[in-house]
Amino acid sequence: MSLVSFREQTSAASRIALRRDHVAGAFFVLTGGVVAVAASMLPLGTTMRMGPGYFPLLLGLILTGLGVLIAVNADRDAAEPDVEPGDGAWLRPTIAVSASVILFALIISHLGLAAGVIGVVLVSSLARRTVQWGTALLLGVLLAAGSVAVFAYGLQLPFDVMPPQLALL
Amino acid sequence: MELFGQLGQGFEAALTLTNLLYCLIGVTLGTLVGVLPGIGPVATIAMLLPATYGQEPLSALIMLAGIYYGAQYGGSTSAILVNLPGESSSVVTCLDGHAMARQGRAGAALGIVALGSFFAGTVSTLLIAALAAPLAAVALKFGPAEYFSLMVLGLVAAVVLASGSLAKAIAMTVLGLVVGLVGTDVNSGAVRFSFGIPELADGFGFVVVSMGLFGIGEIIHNIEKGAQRDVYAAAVSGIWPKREDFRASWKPTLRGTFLGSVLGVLPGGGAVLSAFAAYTLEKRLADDPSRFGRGAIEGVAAPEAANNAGAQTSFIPLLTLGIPPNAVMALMVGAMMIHGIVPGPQVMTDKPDLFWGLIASMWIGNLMLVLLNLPLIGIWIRLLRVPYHLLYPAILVFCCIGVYSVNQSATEVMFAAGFGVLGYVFIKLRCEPAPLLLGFVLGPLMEENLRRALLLSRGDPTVFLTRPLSLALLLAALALVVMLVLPAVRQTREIAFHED
Repeated sequence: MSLVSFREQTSAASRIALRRDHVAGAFFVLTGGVVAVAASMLPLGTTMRMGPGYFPLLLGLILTGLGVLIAVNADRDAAEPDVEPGDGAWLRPTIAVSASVILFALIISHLGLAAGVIGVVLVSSLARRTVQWGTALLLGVLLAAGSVAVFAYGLQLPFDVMPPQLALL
Repeated sequence: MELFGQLGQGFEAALTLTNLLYCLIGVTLGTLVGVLPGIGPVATIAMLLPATYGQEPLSALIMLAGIYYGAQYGGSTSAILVNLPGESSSVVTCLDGHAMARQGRAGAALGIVALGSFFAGTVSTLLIAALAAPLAAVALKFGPAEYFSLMVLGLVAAVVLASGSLAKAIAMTVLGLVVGLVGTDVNSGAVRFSFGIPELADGFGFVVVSMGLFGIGEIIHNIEKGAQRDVYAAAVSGIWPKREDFRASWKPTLRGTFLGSVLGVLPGGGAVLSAFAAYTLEKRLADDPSRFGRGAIEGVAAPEAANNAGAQTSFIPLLTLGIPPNAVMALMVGAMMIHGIVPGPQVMTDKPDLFWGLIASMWIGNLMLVLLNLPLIGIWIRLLRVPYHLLYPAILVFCCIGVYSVNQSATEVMFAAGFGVLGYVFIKLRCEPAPLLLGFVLGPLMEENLRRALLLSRGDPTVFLTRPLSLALLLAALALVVMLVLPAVRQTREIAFHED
C-alpha cells in the first residue's frame, strides 16, 4: 500500500469517527446549555437552602462541559464507522416505527384497542423495504385479538376495545 | 438459626399456588426474552409493570425478578445456537458456546449452562439471605450525606461498566439526572422543564423512558441492521453433559459463582460485568489459553454461572439500601413504589414476608428454570426461527399497550415514541442508555439528599468528607475512577467490550 493511499484511508476513517463524536458532543453542549439557561430562570437559592434551579443549573453546566470534552477528544476515538453516513438507510425504520407508536396514541382513545394494534402493525411494517401486506394484516388481526383477550379481558385493564361510538348505537 | 427460620418464613410465603404461578410466568417470559434477540429484560419488565397493578406486591415482585434471572438463562441459548447474545450478559458465551455448537456439542454446552446456573443461583440466594441483615443494619446508620455519596458511587460504577467512551457515559448519566428532574420540585412546588405540557407536571414516567430507550430505539436499530440468523439446531442432542465435561467445568463454575456473587453486589455491577470478568479469569488460569474461543467448555461454564450469580446478588443493594445498582433494579424500585413499598432497610423489618418470600422465590425460580429448560429446549429453538419482521411489530404493540396502560395517557405514548428516536440516536452515537436510566431514577433522590445534607450542615459541603461512612463511599467511587484510568484495567475493559 502506498503511503498516500494509506493516509487517505486513515483520514477518511477518522473523518467519519470525528463526525459521530462531534455530533454527540454538540448534542450534550446544546442540551446542557438549554438546561442551564432554563434552570437559571428559576430561583437558585443558596447552598444551604437550595432553590429549584440550583441542582439543575449545576447539572446543565457539567453537561455542557462534558459535551465540549467529547467533541474536543473526538479524534482519539478512531472507531470504525458503523454505517456510512448519509446512506439514508436509517430514515425509513425511524419514521415508520415512531409514526406507528404515535398513531397508536391517536387511535386508541378514539377508535379503541383493536384498531390501535392493527394500526401499529401495518404502519411499522413499512419500516422494511419489502412489505408483505397480507402477512402484516393477518399478524395485526391476530395480535389485536390476542391483546384484547389478554389485556382487556384477562388483566381487566381499562381499555376501550372497540370504538366507543359503536357502543352508543 | 435465625437465618433458616427467616428463609422458612420466606418459603412459606413463596410456596402459595398464586406465587408459584407468577414465578413460573416470570421465568418463562424471562427465558423467552432472553432467547429472542432484540428485546431485553429492561424493556420486558417495563412492559409488564402495568400488568402487576392488580397483583399482590409479593407476586408482582416474584414475577418481575423471575424475568430478570430467567433472561440470563435464555440469553445463553441463543448465544450458543445462533451466535447472537439474546441478552447483553451472554456476549462472552457466544465465543466458546457457539464454537461448541459448531462441533456438534451444543447439547453439552446447554446442559452445563443450565446446571451451572442452577448451582450459582442456589449459592447466591443463600448469600443474599446471609448478607441482607448485616447490610440493612449498616444502612440504618445512613444519613442524607451517606445516601448521596452512595448514589455517587452507584453512578460512577454504572459509568465504569458502560462500554465505549467514559466522557460519553458520564454525560449520559448527567443527562439522566436532568431528565429525572423534569416535573414539580417537591420543596418549592415549582414546575421545572415542563415546557407548559400539563402531563409533565409529574415528570416523565420511567416506563415511558425505559420503553422508549430500550424497546423502541433498539427495534429501529435492529430493522436498520437487518437481523440475520444462522441456527445450529441440528447439533442439539444429549443435553446431559458427559463425565469429562463435568470434570472440566466444576471448578470454573465454582469460580464463576464466587466472582459473580461478589461483583453483583457492587453498585453498577450485575450480570454483564460478572460474565466478562469470569471469562477473563478462566482464560488466565487455563493451561492452554489458545483453546478459548474454539469451544472450551470452561469458557461457557464460568461466565454463565457468574452472570446468574451476579443477576441475583444485584438484588442486595436494592433490598438492603434501597439503591438500584443497575437498570433492571431501577425498574424494580418503580415496581415496589407502585405497590406503596419504599425500598430500603426498613422493608426487611416491616414486611418480612415480602422480603424473605422474594428471596425464597429466587431459588424456586432457579429450580423451575432447570426443569423447564432442559426438556423444552426444542421449543426455544423453534422460537429462534421466528423471523424478525413478524417479531418486531408484536414487540411494538406490547410496548404501546404497556405505556398506555400506566396512566391511560396517549400523550405518554407519544413521549415514548420520542424517547425511542432518542434511543436510536444514542445507539448511533455510541452512547449507552443504561447509565441514563440509572441517573433518571436516582436524580430526584440525589437532589433530595444533597439538599438535606447541606441543610443539616448549614451549607457546609465538607459534610460529605467529614462523616466517615460518606467519606468511605466517596473514596470507593474515586478508587473506581482511578482504576479505570490505569492502563492495564483500561485495556481489559476495552477487550471485554470489544465483542459488542
